[in-house]
Parts: sequence; structure tokens; C-alpha cells
Amino acid sequence: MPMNKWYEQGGEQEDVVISTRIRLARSLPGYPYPQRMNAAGRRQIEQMVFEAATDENTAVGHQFAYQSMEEIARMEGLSLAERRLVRPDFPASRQGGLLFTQDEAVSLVVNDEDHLRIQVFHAGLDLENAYAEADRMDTILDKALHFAFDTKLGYLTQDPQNLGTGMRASLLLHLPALHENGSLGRIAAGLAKLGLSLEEEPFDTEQESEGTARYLLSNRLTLGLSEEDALRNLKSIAQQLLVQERTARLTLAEKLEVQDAVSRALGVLQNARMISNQEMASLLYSVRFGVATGLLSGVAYEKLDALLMELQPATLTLACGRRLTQSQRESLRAEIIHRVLV
Amino acid sequence: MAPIHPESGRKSVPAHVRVVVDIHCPVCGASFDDIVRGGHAGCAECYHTFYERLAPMIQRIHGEVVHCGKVPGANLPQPRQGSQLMVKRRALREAINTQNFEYAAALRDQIKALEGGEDADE
Repeated sequence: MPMNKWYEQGGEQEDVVISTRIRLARSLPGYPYPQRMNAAGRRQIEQMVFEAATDENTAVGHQFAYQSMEEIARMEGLSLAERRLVRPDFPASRQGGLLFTQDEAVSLVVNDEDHLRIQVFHAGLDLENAYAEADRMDTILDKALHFAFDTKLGYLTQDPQNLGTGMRASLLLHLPALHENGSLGRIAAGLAKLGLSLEEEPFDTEQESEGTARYLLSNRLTLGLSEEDALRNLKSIAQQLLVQERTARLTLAEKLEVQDAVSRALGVLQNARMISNQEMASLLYSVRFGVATGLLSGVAYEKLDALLMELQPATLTLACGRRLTQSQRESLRAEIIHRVLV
Repeated sequence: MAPIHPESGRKSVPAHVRVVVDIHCPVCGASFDDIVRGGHAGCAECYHTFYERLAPMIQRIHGEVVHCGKVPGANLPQPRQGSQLMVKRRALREAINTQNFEYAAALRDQIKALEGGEDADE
């Protein structure tokens, strides 16, 4: 039986927080960083990480699948980026590799900017547990790989901006009401002073201002602050944003135009015969807002989030198992949405 | 006084200044200029090779702070230095009692090193 993906599970505060990601940047002492290394050197690093992560004598406790970027098919690479496992540019670089668990919650990016990045995804707001898992993996892998570390500078990352903990914790937030009332610019400026960043995270990176109102809230400070303190700061700010977003949603959801848009979104999703990626995102996020504000019921967030993840162009094509024209893809997408929502 | 000739002026640059300019990281071969131009280190060793010159850059990004997060291995069971001293002192008494002087001498050196380590921490 196929294992559920991380995004198919329910999470805390998921009316606003779509997902949590923890990323730890690590490097190996005695080796140049990937961009200063030749292909043979990089393969050696990949081999070392692979062996450490798949060593059955350790407490890793995960079965990792391995995907090299050197020979990856274009569609596979696009799909990995759609599922947020790698940066969009990484597969096209034809360098490095990715190890990931079947549920895609834990992944190891090898030879991107740093030798290793440990990534953990959890649904909803779950900073503590996601960090605990990343920390556990880090501790186990460090026994074999002995990551480069300095008592003053912390983990020695390729980019001096990540020195210290090498940790970037991010929350993917759905903020349609704060987006709509235009207060996010001011909030983001305030957060920057506190060492946090709040940036729009487009669903489809090729489209501009698509109105899905997805934002990524993440820590910027890595040196001089412990992981626990950084996570506590991030969580406390996230909780304040949650309150503001929910308050703003009450006003928004009272408007007849908004109620109409939500109902129409559901109607189109249930009845359309062809849906583009962009239209799906915009409509599903409207429905998500409708569920959160009580305008709609009977749909779980994780169902919507799974559709948003799995019906992206490359991921959908791979799941179908054969090449699709754009109209075939849009028709298949509409068919699957219909099955889930009707 | 002889007029200063540009050529002779160049020659008078002390040798150690030129050596400093030419330093490359022993692991990755990056120079300080490479790091400044690219905005990132060539390898972990670069942070030690160019520590003095990177410090202001790191301070500009992070402020005047030092790492206070996770330390590798810190969340695994660790032998406490104090307890090691205790064990070794006990072993030393035992070694002297059993007239195992060679072992006792080795233990004394280890104890001295551990005590030195403690002093340095304080």
C-alpha cells in the first residue's frame, strides 16, 4: 500500500498555516564546496552521504530513495521542484543528488549550494516536531560525516549568511485577508527588523501576481541565536499573524461579493471539463478560504493541499505515466478534481 | 636625498605584504578576493584561512555575536571531564600501589593535560 505523503496529513492551525519546513545546511570539512569541485569530487560526496543515510547500523530509521541530478529526466526534475523538494534551478544544473523518504517528509539535498541540506516538511504549524526530526537526522549523519563546525562561527556553511545554526525554518502561510486589505507590506517591514522575512510565495513561479496569497515566513538570523530561540521567535510571530489574519477574514467573509466568489470557485472546480494549473490554484485557494471561514464545509484542508501538490503539470504527467498534451492534462486535472470534490 | 623613482618605490614593498596578498586556502585554493567577489566561501577551511579578514564581513551580516546553537555531538552521551579526572586519579593510585610505574607516568601526563584543559576553560 502506498504510504501517505506528508501533505496528505492534517496539521495544526492549518486554516492559515499550510506547512512547516526546516532546513539545516551542513558541509564536510576538507572538501571544497560543490561549485568549486569537479564531477568526481561531487560524486564522492554524494557517495559518502548516501552511505551514511542508508547505513542499516544507524538509527536513521528511514528508507531513502536516491535521485541523481546528472541523468534526471526533465519531467522528473520539474516535479521535484513542484513538490518543493529542490530549488527549481537545481535539477537543470545537472549536478548533485536528492535522497528522500517515500512520504517526502525527510529529504537530503546533496551538492546544491552546500554539501548537504537536511530538509523536513510537516503539515500545518509544527516547528518543534519538524526540527526534532531534522536535529535527529543531523546528529546521526554527523557521526559518519563529521560536519564542519567552529565554536565561534557554528556550522561552516557556503554562504556566510547561514553561519551559526545553518537553520532556516519556514512556514508557508495562506493570508488572503491580510493580502486583500494591503497590510502585509507594513507587517513585512516590521518583521525584517526582528530578523524574520515574510515574502510572497507564488504557486506557479512562472506567473506573476496570481492572487493565491501564499506567503513564506522564515527566520533570517542564524548566528548568535540558538535553534530553540529562533523557532520560538518564529512561532510567536506566526501566532500573532494568525490572529490578525483570522480577524481580517471575518470582515472579508461578510461581503456578498466574496461569498459569491467562493461559491463560484467551488462550482467551477466541480463542473469544469478542463482546468489550467493557474486556474486550479486560484480556485482551490478560494475554496480553502471558504472552508476556513465556514462559508463551505465538508472538504478537508489536506484534500485541497494534496490536489494542489499532485495536479501540478509535471507531477500530474508523471503520475499518469505517459506524455500528455496541454489539453489532455487540463482535462485529466478537471476529472480528478471532480472525483475528489463531488 | 635621492628622488623617489616609481620602480624603486615598488621594490621597497616589504616581502611579507606580497605574501599576504597571495594567500590561497590550502583546501580549495580560493583567495580572499574570490570569496569577496562570489560572496561565499570556497570551503569550510576558508573561514579559518581568512578568519581575520572575514570577521568584519561576518559581523556586518550577523552583528558582533558568536554561535550559541547546537554543537555537534553535544546531544550524545559525553564523558564529563571532571569524571575522567576522577577515574584517572583513581587509576594512578592503583598503578602506584601495584608498582606499574610506566602506566602511572602515562596517567600522570593525561591528568596534567586534562587539568590544563580545565584551566584554559576558566
